Amino acid sequence: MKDEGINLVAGRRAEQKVEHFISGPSLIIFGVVFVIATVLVIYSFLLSSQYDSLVSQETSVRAQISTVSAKRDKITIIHERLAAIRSIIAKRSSLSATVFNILSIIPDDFSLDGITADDNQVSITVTSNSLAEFADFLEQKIPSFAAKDKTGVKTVQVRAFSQSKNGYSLGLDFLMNGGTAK
Amino acid sequence: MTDKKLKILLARYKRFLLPMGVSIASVVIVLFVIFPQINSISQKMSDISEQTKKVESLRQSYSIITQSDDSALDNGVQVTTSALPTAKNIPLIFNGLSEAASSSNTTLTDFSINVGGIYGRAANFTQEGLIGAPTVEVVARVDGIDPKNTIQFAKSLVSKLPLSQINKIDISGSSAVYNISFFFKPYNSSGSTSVDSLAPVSQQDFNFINQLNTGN
Repeated sequence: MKDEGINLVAGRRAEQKVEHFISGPSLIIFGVVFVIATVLVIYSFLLSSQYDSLVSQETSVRAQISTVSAKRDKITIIHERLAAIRSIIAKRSSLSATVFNILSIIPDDFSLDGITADDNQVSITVTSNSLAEFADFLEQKIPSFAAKDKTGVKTVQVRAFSQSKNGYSLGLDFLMNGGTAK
Repeated sequence: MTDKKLKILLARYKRFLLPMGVSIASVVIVLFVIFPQINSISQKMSDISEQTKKVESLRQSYSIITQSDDSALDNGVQVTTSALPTAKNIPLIFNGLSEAASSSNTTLTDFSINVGGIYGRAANFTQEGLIGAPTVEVVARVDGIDPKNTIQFAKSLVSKLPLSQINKIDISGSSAVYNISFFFKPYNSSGSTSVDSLAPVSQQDFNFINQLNTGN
C-alpha cells in the first residue's frame, strides 16, 4: 500500500502568502484613510472657526451701523421716495401738456372762449372775426397738427362753426383714443 | 463540538483578523467620517462665501452711511416727502394750489377735498391708485383774466409739490374748474429696507431732488 501523506507545510506557506498579501495593503489603506479623515476634520473645524469669525464681524458691523441708524433711515427714505416719485412722474397723465400742445397751434388773434379736457378728449372753443384766419387754421394748422402730434391726439373733429355778434365761433374736439366726441 | 470547531477556525485564521478589522475600520471611516465631512466642508465653504459677501456689503453700507452728508440727506428727505407726502397732507396740498395760482397770476377762489378716511381706521390707506400710489381728490376753482391765463394754473401746478395729476379741466371765460389728484404714499410698512446692500444717494439723485424742489 502506497503511503499518501498530506503536505501541511505547503498549505501553511500559501496561507502566509495570503496573510502578507492582505495585511500590508489594508494597513496602508487604513493609514491613508485615517490621515484624510483627520485632515478633513481639522479643515472643517478651521472653516467653522472662520464662519464664526465672520458672524461676529457681521454683528460688529451691524452694531456700528445701528449707531448711525438715523442717517441710514434718511438714505432709505430718500431711495424709497425717489423710486415712487420717478414711477409717478413717468406714469401720470400728461393732460396739461396735451392741452398746451393743442393751444400752441391757435393763432394769437383768436380768442379762446373755453376749454374742457380729460383723458379722452380736449374740446376748445375759439372765436375770431377773420374767416380767412379760420380757413388757414382748418386747412393748414389742424391737419399738420393731427399728422405730427405726439401727445396722443388721434382724431380732430369740428364740433360746431357758427356766426355770432362777436364774429365766428369754432368748436373743436381733439380725441385721444380715436373715439367719437361726447 | 461547535465550540471546538470555532476554536480551531479561530486558531487557524487568527492572523487574518487584524487586516480584516483594519479594512472594516477603513470602510467605516470613509462612510461615516470622510463623506459627511466632504459634504459639511462644501456647505461651510458656501456659507462662508455668502457670509463674506454679507459682511463686505454691510461694511460698504456703513461706509456709505458715514460718508453721506447729513444736511444733504435732511434736504433730500424734506423735498421727497413734500413731493410725495406720507399721508393726506391738506396744508401741503393747499400750499401747492396757492403757489400754482400765485405763479400763474390766477386766483384760487375755492377748493374742495375728498377727504374720506383721513381719521380713524380708514386713514391707514393701503389702496394704491392706478399708478402705484394712493391719491387725494381735489376740485379747485381758479379765476383768471381769460382762458389763456387760467390754463397757466395747470402748467404751474404740475411743477409744484406735492406731485399731482390733472384729471379734468373745465374752463369757461375767466373761470376754471380743475379736478386734481394729489399723490401720497405711506412709508413702507415692512420697515426699513435692508441695510445689507444700501446704495448711496447718487449725485444724479440729488440733482433730481433739486429739480423737484425748484420745479424744473
